[in-house]
Amino acid sequence: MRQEKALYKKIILLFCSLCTVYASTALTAEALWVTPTFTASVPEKKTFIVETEFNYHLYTPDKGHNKVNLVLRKYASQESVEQSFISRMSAISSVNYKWWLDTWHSDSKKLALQYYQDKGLDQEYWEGVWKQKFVGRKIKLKHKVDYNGYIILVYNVSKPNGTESYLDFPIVFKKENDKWLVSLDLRKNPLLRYSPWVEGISSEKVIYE
Amino acid sequence: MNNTVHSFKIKGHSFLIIAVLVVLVCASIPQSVARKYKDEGDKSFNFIQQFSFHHQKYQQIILTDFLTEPVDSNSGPDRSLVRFLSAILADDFEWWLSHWNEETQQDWTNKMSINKAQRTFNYWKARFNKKTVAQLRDFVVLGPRVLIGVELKNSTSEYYLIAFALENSRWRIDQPFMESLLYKKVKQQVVK
Repeated sequence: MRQEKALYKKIILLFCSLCTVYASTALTAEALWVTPTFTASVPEKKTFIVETEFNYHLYTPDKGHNKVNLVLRKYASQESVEQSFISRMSAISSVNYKWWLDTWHSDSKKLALQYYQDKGLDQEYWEGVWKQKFVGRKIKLKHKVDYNGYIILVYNVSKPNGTESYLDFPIVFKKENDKWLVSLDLRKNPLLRYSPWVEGISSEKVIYE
Repeated sequence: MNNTVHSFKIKGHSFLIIAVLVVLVCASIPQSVARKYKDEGDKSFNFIQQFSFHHQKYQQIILTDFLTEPVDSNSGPDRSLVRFLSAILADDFEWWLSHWNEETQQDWTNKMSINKAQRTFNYWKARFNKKTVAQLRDFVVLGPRVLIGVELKNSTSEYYLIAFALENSRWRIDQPFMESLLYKKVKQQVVK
């Protein structure tokens, strides 16, 4: 009788432990959105870190040197980054779509126009945006960043009342045939996404689950 | 008279000097309005990414059942690997090519001059044939991607960790990802 009880206890214990293993397996497997179709072990969660260092050189315009004075197209130039930036801002502020197109780096222009076409963002759309957000506004240059052959200019477009708006925008320039032209090469680059110069940060940690 | 002529010459020189000065001033206008910057110096930004993945080890799975012709269905990433190897055994270039994602195929189209796609196909044919033993090793889920580890045993043994991602509801091999730092790091974690 005692032996039977002991055996029952053992069976119950074994059953419980099997249930625990099954439940933990099922719970872990449930968390995964895709599973192997051949027999495999229980999923094990692992974590690792990838660190990437971006080195850049930062300049900030002196007082009285941050105002962007727009120009007519006949006086515009693309010889220096600053002149190209003025050219780009002048094209937008004068709602000159053709001029704006000429400020793009060739590879990036193809990419941008294809993207805009897919999203239905045509000339009329852009002219509307520029009239609403740029025409008559003050433009201030906030920073100049030299990074890996690219120059990033950070600027602010004022609110309609002339005060500085909350957002600063980066624009990237790359040299092509002795002209500085607008590039989208850094569009996925974390340096641009986190713009460390805005708040003076030197690192950022992101956790992907 | 001489004095007069001399005086005229000086006036001529003066005119010339003034003209040159005007030209120099005009030429220097862009420089005078050029922006002056405070040099903030060299900076660095450290971007730290923490990734998690789920790792499963296959249990003694030797692949034996290969297909002889394409099947268009989504049966999971490891079944896509079996079809990928099947296409190599069948020596079917188009079928094999269809296992790679659009970005990879576009990149190979751009590298048509060096026949990149065909050369990659030849690479795989040199590593997998009817005598090769293909053993599944690892199943790794990393965000939207699944990485399948397979060992190909010929006279020597080689390990491949192939990254798949869903594209138009089909598992396709993501070659650009397999060239990334993230892929190298996760591979280090899987094989250690």
